[in-house]
Amino acid sequence: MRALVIEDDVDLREQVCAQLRSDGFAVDATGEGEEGLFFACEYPIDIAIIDLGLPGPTGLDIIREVREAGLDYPILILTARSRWQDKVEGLETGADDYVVKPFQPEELTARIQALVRRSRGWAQPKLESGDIVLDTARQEVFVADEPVELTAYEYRVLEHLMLHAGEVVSKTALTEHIYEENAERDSNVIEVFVRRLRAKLDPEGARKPIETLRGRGYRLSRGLSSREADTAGSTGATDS
Amino acid sequence: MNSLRARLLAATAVLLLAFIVLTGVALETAVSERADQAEHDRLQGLSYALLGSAEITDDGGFKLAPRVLPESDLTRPDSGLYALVLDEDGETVWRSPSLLDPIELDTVPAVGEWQFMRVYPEQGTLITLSFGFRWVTDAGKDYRYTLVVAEDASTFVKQMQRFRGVLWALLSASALVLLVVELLILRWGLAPLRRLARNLATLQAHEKRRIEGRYPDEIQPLVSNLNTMLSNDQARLTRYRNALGDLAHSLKTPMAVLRGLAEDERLEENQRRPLRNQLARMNDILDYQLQKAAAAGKRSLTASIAIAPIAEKLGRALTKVYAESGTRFRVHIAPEVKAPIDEGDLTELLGTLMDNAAKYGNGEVDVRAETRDGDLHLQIDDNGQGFGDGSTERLLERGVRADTSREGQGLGLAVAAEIVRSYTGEITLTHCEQGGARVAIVLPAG
Repeated sequence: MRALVIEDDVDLREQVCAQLRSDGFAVDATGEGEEGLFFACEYPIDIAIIDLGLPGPTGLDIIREVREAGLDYPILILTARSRWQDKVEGLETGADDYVVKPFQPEELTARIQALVRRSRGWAQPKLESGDIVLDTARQEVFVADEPVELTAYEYRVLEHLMLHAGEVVSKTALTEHIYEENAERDSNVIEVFVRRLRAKLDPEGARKPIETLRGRGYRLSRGLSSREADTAGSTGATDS
Repeated sequence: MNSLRARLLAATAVLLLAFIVLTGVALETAVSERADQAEHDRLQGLSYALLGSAEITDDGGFKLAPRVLPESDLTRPDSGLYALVLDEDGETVWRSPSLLDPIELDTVPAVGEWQFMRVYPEQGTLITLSFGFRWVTDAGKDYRYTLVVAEDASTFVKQMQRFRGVLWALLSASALVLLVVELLILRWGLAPLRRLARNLATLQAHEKRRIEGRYPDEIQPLVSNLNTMLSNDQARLTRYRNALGDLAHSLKTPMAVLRGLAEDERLEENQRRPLRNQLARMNDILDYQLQKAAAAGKRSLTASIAIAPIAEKLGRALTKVYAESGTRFRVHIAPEVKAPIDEGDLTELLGTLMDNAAKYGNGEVDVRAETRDGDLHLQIDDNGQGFGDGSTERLLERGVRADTSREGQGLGLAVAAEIVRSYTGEITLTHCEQGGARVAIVLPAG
């Protein structure tokens, strides 16, 4: 998952970024409204956390531009103004939720994860595919109820594939969603991550949960397990 | 007498009445005097004519042949025109054939003087003119006489009565016409004031804070001043709220950083806990005071706003926020329900209470509003556990929370109560039929 943080206070920005990284996100961050607007419109983002009180283009301006550009990833606003008029304005402009400063770090995490899940059509914090279960709240993965240890990157790859279960995900898309913008990238590494994931999730090679589609990418089977979000369709629950 | 029109009308009516009466009396007096003068002159002419034709005998006898009488009426009995001559002792020495009964005078004029008066015999009224004169005969005898000429006044009185009737009828009619005209003038003259009053009244019923239209020069400065006051008032409130928002921003961002530090695991738990608690306290105080300061409260000439759009907007926004629990916000408010309350205050009040209802309820929030006798009745219901027993009063005090198991600022109800108080309204915490919590609010009209 790739998150964008736009917050002009350096200390708070670093805190939020550190927290998001520890929650398994690839994080891009900026304190400039102008730069934030560019990131928000150009990067393949899964969620944006935007402070409303920015210098330059305000948070509201950025949200408006993003929605006008037809981008529908979830947006969480951070606001110091606790008045409902300000909150409602942000939500009406296109944000999906808000967190009022000062906030409890766990609350921020919970809201962000709920938004990401909902945007992919998952109604509950546990993603399931066959006998693979990924708990986004605790960042734990189980195969047939047995815990599986994954590295941060392996986790990100699996989370992305599970959130897009049944869809073909290209190597480029995977790279973009698990790496931050200024990270060293090597798409060959994706192959390594996928190979390791297969070994951990399916040591006997019996189920083959991750399919390789030559020249197109990977696909995680939807599995047989119930996926509640199917009732909501696969378009995601993000309003804009 | 609490209306300008009634005052002006009453004053005009009194003035008009006085004017009409004075005019009537003056005219009547003038005309009556003029008539008397004419009568006087006529009788005087007659007197001269009689004197010119008179002869006095040496023994003091007075002779006036009927054929030389200047008026034929003097010869016809009881014609209404009479003449007689009295001697020094008041004895009648001569009387015109027309006079049947002698005329008695209380006083007689001195020699060479005229006396004009009315006398009242048994029937009718006589206008008399008497003249005292001395006659010296050729034999050198000196006699003193009084010539009395009289005319029956009944015709004269009738004429005067007719004149008086016509005079007062005309004056009354013109007074009536003037009053009606005055009424019309007042209507026309006071129309701008009525328009202003109407506009002021509709100011509260409409969603605008400006008195429209052009008024007469006497009222326009008042209207302009009112408009300036209204717009300054709104601008000041906006500036004030922005300043408070900036203050919140500049304080809360550092507080958010500190709050993050309070979770830093390199710190001991017994260091982190006080940090968290103190920050929470600071935040509560700051929130409560900022909310309180930003409330506009009851102001004069606040424009009325529709309640439904604001409740619906909040419902849409909160539906997003509570998407995870799938809370449904139902707004049952007719579009015509309006109240003179500041939009920011109403948004704050409803937002706080709907958020509270969603937080402590079980997925259903119902918002109702109606106006009864001009008062706005608001009702926010949820389907949760309700407020519990006996603690409802305490919940409205600042910073007390009944359900401490949920996170939140715990200030919602206290903030709402503060806003309701600033509108001299009432807030009641009860239970709805299904057992959930109900917050009922009455905001008085005007």
